[in-house]
Amino acid sequence: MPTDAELVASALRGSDEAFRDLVLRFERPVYALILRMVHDSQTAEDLAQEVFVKAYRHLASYDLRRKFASWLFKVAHNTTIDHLRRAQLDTVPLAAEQEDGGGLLAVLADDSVESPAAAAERRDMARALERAIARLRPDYREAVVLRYVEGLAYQEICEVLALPVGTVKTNLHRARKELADTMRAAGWGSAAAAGTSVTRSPGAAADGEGAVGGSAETLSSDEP
Amino acid sequence: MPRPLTPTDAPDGCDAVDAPDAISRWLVAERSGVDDAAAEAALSELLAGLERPAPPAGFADRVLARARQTPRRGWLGWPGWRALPWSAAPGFPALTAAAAMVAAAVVGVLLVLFGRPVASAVAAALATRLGETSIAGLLQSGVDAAFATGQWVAAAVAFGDKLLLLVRAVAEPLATPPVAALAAACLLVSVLAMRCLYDLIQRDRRWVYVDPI
Repeated sequence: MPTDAELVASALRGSDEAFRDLVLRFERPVYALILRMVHDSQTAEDLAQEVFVKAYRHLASYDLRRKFASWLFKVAHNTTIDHLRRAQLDTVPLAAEQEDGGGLLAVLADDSVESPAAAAERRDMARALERAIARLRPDYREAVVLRYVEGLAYQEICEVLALPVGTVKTNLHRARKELADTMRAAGWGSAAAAGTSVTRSPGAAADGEGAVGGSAETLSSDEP
Repeated sequence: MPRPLTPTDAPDGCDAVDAPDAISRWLVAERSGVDDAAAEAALSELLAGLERPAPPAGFADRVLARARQTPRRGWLGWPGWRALPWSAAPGFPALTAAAAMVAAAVVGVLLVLFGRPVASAVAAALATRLGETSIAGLLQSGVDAAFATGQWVAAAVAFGDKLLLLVRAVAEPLATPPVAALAAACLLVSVLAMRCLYDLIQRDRRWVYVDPI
């Protein structure tokens, strides 16, 4: 299996097939990152396309000594911010995304691989986690996704976000605390602290909606 | 520790991570506040278990179709410049930009001083000969144009000589340590100014300008 650098080199020599392989390799991480930032599947697809088209056009300016994923995430970061600035914070309610099935929450569970109860708990937890991530400030949210979902190193995150490493570490630390507080408020982990294996208190609100604002929640500029 | 980036991970929903166990470990670690690494590891494990949403089918084909409609760009016509050993040196982009600006200024001065008269002369010569269809007339036009170009080149060379004299006159005092130190300080200030400008442009891409946090 060719490395990213080999594929980039082939693409630079004119191989569209190599570039297609790069797109296939990175379409999920880029799309998922953008979707978590804009919360609209159609916009996320358009922006993800724009990211890859930009990458195609400017591939010659990519420094082969750097990690391709970092470069691509940087393009995605810039493209997303440019879009949001153009769109004047035209935010989309999370509830609307759930209804049309195009958002993140529609793809979090796979009931076919486990018992219904376990699948339900896993689905609840995944939904609560996604809601907690969606409630984070956008700069915290992006750092969390890059670090804990995509597995980037601190230095790579610094390059993507154009922030000093100290700021990135502080943001991640605070984001983790906020996430943990939100999950606890939704009832998750309350029994774990007492040393039992149950991870969610029985009386907790379904899906953690009581803690995160419910279906009327919007991802707008009046977030904390 | 965060898992390494594996973009080709199987897209099959929540994977084999024991999510309830991971969330317990994460929240306990966060509550204790002493083991940051354990909290990070547990959260990584937990979030790695979430499925990454995928774009609709045929995404790559649509990207390629759009990409083929737009030409590729090199960087200043030479994509290999980043491979230069000194390109990673601190201040290299700022110095490059400063040199480019100086070069652009010199070319601009040359064009302002000599470009317009020469262009006018060539245009006039061509205009007067344009109606003539004879080979001799066309040759005469060519000779006139070459003569005008030669005059422009001679003027440019003369200007270059004067510029060289100026550079020598400036360089002479630079040999003395105080002036050299002053020049170095000026250079440093200009590099810092370019760096600040770069930072200002970069800051436009920060979230604080998108979402008033």
